[in-house]
Amino acid sequence: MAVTGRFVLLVGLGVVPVLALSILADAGGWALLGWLLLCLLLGAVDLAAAASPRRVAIERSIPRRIRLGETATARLLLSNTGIRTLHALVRDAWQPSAGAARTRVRLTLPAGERRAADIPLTPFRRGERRTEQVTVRSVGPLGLWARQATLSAPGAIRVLPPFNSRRHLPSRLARLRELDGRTSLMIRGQGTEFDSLREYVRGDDVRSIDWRATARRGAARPGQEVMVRTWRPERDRRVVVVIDSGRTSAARVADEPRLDTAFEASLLLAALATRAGDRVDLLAYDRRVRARVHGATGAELMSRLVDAMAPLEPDLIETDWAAVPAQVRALTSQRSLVVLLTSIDASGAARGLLSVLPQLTRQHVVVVASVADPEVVAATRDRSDRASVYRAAAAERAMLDTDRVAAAVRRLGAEVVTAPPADLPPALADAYLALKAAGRL
Amino acid sequence: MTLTDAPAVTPTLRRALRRGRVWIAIVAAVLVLALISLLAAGGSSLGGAPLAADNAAPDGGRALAEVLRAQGVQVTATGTLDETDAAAGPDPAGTTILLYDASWFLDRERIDRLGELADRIVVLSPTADVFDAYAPDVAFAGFPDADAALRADCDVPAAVRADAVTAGESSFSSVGDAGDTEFCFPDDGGGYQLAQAPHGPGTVTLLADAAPFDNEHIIEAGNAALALNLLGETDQLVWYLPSFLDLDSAGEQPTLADLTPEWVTPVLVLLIALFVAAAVWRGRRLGPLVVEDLPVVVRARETMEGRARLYQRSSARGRALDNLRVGTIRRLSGLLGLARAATVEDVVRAAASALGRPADDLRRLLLDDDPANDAALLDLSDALLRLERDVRAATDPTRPGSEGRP
Repeated sequence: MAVTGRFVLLVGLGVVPVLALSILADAGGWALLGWLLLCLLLGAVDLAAAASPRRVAIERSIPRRIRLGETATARLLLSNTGIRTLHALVRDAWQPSAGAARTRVRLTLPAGERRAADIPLTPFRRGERRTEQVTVRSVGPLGLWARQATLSAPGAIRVLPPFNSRRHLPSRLARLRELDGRTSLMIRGQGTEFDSLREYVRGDDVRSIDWRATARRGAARPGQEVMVRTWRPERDRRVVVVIDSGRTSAARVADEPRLDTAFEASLLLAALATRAGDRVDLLAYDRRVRARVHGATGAELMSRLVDAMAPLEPDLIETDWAAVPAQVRALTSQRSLVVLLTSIDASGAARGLLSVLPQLTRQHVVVVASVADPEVVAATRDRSDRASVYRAAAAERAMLDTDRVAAAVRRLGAEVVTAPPADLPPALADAYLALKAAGRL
Repeated sequence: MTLTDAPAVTPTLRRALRRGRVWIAIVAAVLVLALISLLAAGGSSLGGAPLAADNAAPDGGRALAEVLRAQGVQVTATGTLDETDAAAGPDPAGTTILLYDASWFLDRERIDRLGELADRIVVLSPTADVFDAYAPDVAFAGFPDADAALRADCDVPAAVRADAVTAGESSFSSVGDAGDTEFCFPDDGGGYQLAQAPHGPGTVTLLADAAPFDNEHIIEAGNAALALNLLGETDQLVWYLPSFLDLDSAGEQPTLADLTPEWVTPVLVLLIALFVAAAVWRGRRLGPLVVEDLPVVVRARETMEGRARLYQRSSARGRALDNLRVGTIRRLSGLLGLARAATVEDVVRAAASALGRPADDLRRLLLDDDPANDAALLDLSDALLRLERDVRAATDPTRPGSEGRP
């Protein structure tokens, strides 16, 4: 049961008869009693005449997936199965992070009819955003008292990582195409796999002229055409992206968890690599496999990746690096590019990583990508007062630690990519392109 | 297509009642028990004024009043002199008044008026005005000197019949000419418990203390006999315990209720009702709260901040400065194009030659100086920044003139 503002107004209006009767007839007490009883009586009549809030059938039509930052409309369909017209205030109990623009809708539902309530959702957190219940408050015909019931009507929408770094994709794809021999200009050294023979055009590297082929062709048809070999980067290589979802990935750099930056970076890398013809596998791991995408290509790969990433949250446990080589081996037995997205902040925390790197570098090309904190760099510059000098000292210390770990990682034969959150995805893509251009994959 | 109603989470009224039946039963049982115990207590409260006729507490007077009623005496409890007047009836001879003015409400004028209402007046623990009005030769004599019940030892019939009473907490003595006043129940210290003075055709009987007549002591010694003899002589007994309404001021000064207009109270009550209605209106939630797991917020720089605070709290100037120096040296060696493995000495020499400054200065700055206090630390850190900026400027190939430096 609930009362409305109109009922409160009605009670308040009692001031008129109470005042009038006390001044005119000296019967204020009786007027008060009578008015309150009248209010209660009207309320009770109204309540009895209200439609049942339980006689409501609910259907939902919600888009299954949405990117973070986009807006979708969740439609709530209410059918009145009762025999009275339902004047209802309906609340759809979405989680706050689902970003519902409004959760309360006023509806008038004649008996046996169905009405829709559209609720725009702009989620501000990744993952599975849910609603469990719909509360219907059925106001009586007088609008004084209302019946209220909460109905179970679960619904959910999966909020995918935003993939903001996709704006870097066109420029990286252009560079990939340059490597790929699709442009007429060939630069020797970009790619090592033999692609085809074609006629020399001005601007080609003279070192790539294939004299043997020129001689064969010249024998068939006399002329000056010289043949050049074209090269292309290797295709069908494997890329394994390992995302550390342990406790260090929960830390926020520039108000973004490391894990989300890792998602951005791995999505850009995967989009680039799958266009380049490589096969991408993803593994999110701390002490157990939190997400795993294997054997998908093209558009399916991207959709499976975001789907796997969407519900993933950092676990506040230490990552078990010792098990990572075995997990990588389970994904691929070939020589691959293994990208470890983790943090290399402190030598203590990175010890586990350093101890397993040799196993990985023996067989694979390993890139360790880590988010650098721009605030740390800024802190080393600020020395205005006593506290900030000590902070600068601590920041220098942190940078030194990071450098030490990075140096240790390089000594063990892996590449290191560190960049602030916004720059890490393109930096990782560039590292991939550089490896590809150098033919190291 | 047939529509099925969404399952309701809110229990129906019937279900809510069924679920809460244990509590409802417990509350009902408590209420019933309270009602039964109230009825068993005879509908009267244990509390009340001392010696009130309906007070069943140890200091009440209910035992005496009930016994008197059982004896056929019509006991009327009154609280004001006007009520007493009305209850006393027209014939002063047929009425006994019991007066117990524990709070000294009655003034002399009212005591005199009281005297006209009945011939027989029994005053317990009398006030000074009562002495003045009826027995000017009686005064209080303090705490009685008595171990046991006191013998009557006088000619007052009621006292003789009672034979002995227990002593209260005060006593009388006679002052001046005793005249017609009779004193009874003497104690060892020369005090008396009872004094009786003539009053018109009847008597005024003063009892030093009310204690012998209360519920707790009435059954001791001859207390009951004394009380019944004193109070049960006439058919009509007015049990008069004066209240504040007997004061002069009572009824004359207007109360707050008299000053406010008549409509104020109902409107106030209406406002309270309005407040309650508004509270229900705004306070009723539209469905239960939604539960959501919140993400952990761990700022990456927290370890750095913590370390900075540690340095500061322990004034680790040397360690802090070393960190700053190492950072500067690393950047300098990069700017000066030295190898990663370059020693500090290499960096000092290269920077000195790039800037044209004495190497000793730089060596002190980068290695030897030990800051004695935080001000020195700030100066050194500023000097490090300046050095870095100078080297950056000196080695910047885009700036003209930087090449020409030795």
